[in-house]
Amino acid sequence: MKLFLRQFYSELLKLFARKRTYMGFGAFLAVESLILLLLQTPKAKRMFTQSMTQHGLDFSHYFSGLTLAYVMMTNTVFVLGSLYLALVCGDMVSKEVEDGTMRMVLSRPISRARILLLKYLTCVVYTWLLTAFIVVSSVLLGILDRGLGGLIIVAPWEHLFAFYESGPGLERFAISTGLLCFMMLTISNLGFMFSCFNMKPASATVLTLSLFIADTVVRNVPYFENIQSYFLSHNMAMWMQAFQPTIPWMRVLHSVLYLGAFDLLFLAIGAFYFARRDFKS
Amino acid sequence: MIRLENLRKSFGKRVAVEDLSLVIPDGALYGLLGHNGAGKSTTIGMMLGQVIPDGGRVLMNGHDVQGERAAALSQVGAIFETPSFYGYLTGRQNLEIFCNYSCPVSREEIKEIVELVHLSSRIDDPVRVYSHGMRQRLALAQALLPRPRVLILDEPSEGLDPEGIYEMRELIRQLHRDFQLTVLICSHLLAEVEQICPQVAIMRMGKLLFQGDWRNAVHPNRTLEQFYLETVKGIEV
Repeated sequence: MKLFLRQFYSELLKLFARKRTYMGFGAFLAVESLILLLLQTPKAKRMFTQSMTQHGLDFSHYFSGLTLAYVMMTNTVFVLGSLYLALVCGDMVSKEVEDGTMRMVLSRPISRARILLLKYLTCVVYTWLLTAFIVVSSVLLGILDRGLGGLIIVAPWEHLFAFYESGPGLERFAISTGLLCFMMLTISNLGFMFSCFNMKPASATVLTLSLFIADTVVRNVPYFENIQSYFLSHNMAMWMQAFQPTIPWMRVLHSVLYLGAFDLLFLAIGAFYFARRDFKS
Repeated sequence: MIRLENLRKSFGKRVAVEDLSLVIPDGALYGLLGHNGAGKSTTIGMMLGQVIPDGGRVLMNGHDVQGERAAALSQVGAIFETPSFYGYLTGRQNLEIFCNYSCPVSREEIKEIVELVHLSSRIDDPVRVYSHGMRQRLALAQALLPRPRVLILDEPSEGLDPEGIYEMRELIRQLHRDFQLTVLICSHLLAEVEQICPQVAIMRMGKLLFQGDWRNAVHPNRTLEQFYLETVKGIEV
């Protein structure tokens, strides 16, 4: 166990000592700040005021840090999140193969299964850190700008309308973070699977993004509404249900299991290929 | 002892290694020779479990590399033609990372080996600023940690200047002499192999043409280069 932890530490060191690992964190902070800035414009404030007064809500209370955090999150998490998860997890194995360090690792008395497990766990850590960072940075930036206040959620496409005081609002953010951490793993798993194939790191990233974007685009075609529940992006968007006044846990559980099955499938395919491939210069 | 038994490997229709059987005794200084595409790198890949053979097996100190990978490779160190490291990490961090895949080694052991390969003054620099020769010496250091019984060197002198080639040659001799290592050197530089290895195996198009003490197989005053060319040419006739 001690050796395993040392090996895991080595994998984390390899990942987090690289500057490009932090690109995602920096990009999120920059885009969130930009959104925050744009939300201060009179036009944005007018739209918020209209929406809130229609429902008899006090603008000054609900145009708060939590509401802004929610707006920042929903606008960044899938677009930027998928990009950076695909970039890092798509690199995880293929970059080492391309650089030649995988051959050096494989000349050591360590099984391929263990190498893959270590790399996969590193992907999981990165995914969770990035996802948690997105939520925490959104909330912190929002609070720094507008203070805590109430939280209002308006998302007609998810049949979602709710408002909370700051305490329950923060609770909902905590639940959504947990769900999001799990759901974003699907993109990481997809990237990791392609990374195990005999392809360049850039190809693994592009393929992951292409599949995810194709899934999202097709899902949004009105003709496919009745098969929505089969799309990965539909199930991944289930994290937003954490903001429903009554959380539909059965629906959430269904999505968790559905995505979990795909996660296992992607991992199994990647592992199968990795165990059988030849590593040559 | 390294024992290769009826080893076979094809990539698509191309046969890379064909029915290769070879025994490298304990404590030997052994050369593996052949032209480009002869199957040397594939053979080394199979010895280290990086390439999966279509048939046959490799035994390292009595353990099957495919079936008992951990036991087979626990006392094997290897370097490759173009040593690859994590350039953004220091030499020391690289050594620690590679050692963690075997078993952890103490700072003293690392210090000792780093001194042996003359890298002490630069070990805490990022590897990206290392010259090719320094990378080659770092590769040798990682192969020697933790202490192996078998050392596999794929083109250890590739890209080195004459001084670097001389240093590498002396280092290999010293390692063999001081630690009684079994050393397998895969190289194009016949003059280098001639000076180091009394025993060689010659491959051509995946087949083994010769194995054993080459000096016994040629007339006195003949060089390894002449013997190699005759052996390889002989099959062409």
